[in-house]
Amino acid sequence: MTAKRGEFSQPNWLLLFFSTRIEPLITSALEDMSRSRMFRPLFDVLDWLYVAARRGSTRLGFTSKVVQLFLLALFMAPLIWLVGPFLLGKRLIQVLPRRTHVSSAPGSFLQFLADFLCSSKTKQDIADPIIADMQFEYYDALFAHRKAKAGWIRVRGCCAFFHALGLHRILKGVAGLFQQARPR
Amino acid sequence: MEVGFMGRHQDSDERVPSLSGKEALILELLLGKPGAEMYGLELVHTSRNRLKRGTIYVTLSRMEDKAYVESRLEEKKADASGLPRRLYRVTGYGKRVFEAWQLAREAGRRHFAEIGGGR
Repeated sequence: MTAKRGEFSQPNWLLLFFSTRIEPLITSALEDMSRSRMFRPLFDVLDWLYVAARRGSTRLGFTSKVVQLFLLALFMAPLIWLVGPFLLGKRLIQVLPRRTHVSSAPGSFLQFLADFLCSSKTKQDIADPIIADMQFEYYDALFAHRKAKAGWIRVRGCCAFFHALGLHRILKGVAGLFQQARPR
Repeated sequence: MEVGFMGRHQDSDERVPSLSGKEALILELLLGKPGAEMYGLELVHTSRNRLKRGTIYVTLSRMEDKAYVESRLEEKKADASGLPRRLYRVTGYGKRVFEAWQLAREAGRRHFAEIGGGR
């Protein structure tokens, strides 16, 4: 089967993808940009240049039209290359489906470590209460929508855990030394 | 009563109860809330950072071994998530030791003032 002039021999998926997905995103991103107060003066200049270029096509000569189009391109290029990707990214985040992220409870790795390293008494008296406190504070912060604080609580809980276990091990070692040194 | 290493009394019943500064602070905080139990983290917050998160449970565990405090796990609510927290309260023995420690500290201060160390 031969393709006629002006037809694609097979579906051009790239063109299809661009026209259905990317082009509306770029258009909406540019609309966002034109609505923003920050870029308003720039768009005013662009409007003026566009109008001037159209007038130039009827009243002025070819050279002045080229100069005006060049100015238009000069203004458009930094706008698209510098700001466009940010707005496009923002729009993509809005458009793409959000995935729900399931993560394990904070302290589950610490619990595993405590199971592996400590005796049941140490785990029950020292490791578990620290993890429980950390989880309590962490969920409290999450309910208050304070993600940064929740992250910090996680870090602080880990520090407290290792500090406590290290301290406990040292104290236990010193007590053991005294017990061994005691005359029988 | 036997006298053991470095002149210490070895018989556990005869051993003089000892109380470190941090242990005394914990007893003071727990006794400051009469009849109530406190979480470890609550103790840290109430002490205004004189107690640290990393050391509080080691100290509380030691105090539990010495029978100054006793603990229990909190009842877990249906909608609660995470491990149950541990609640601590002072025992009668812990209270008596703390009172004796306060008396000894007062006597020590008075004695120190008398011999002119208060300058």
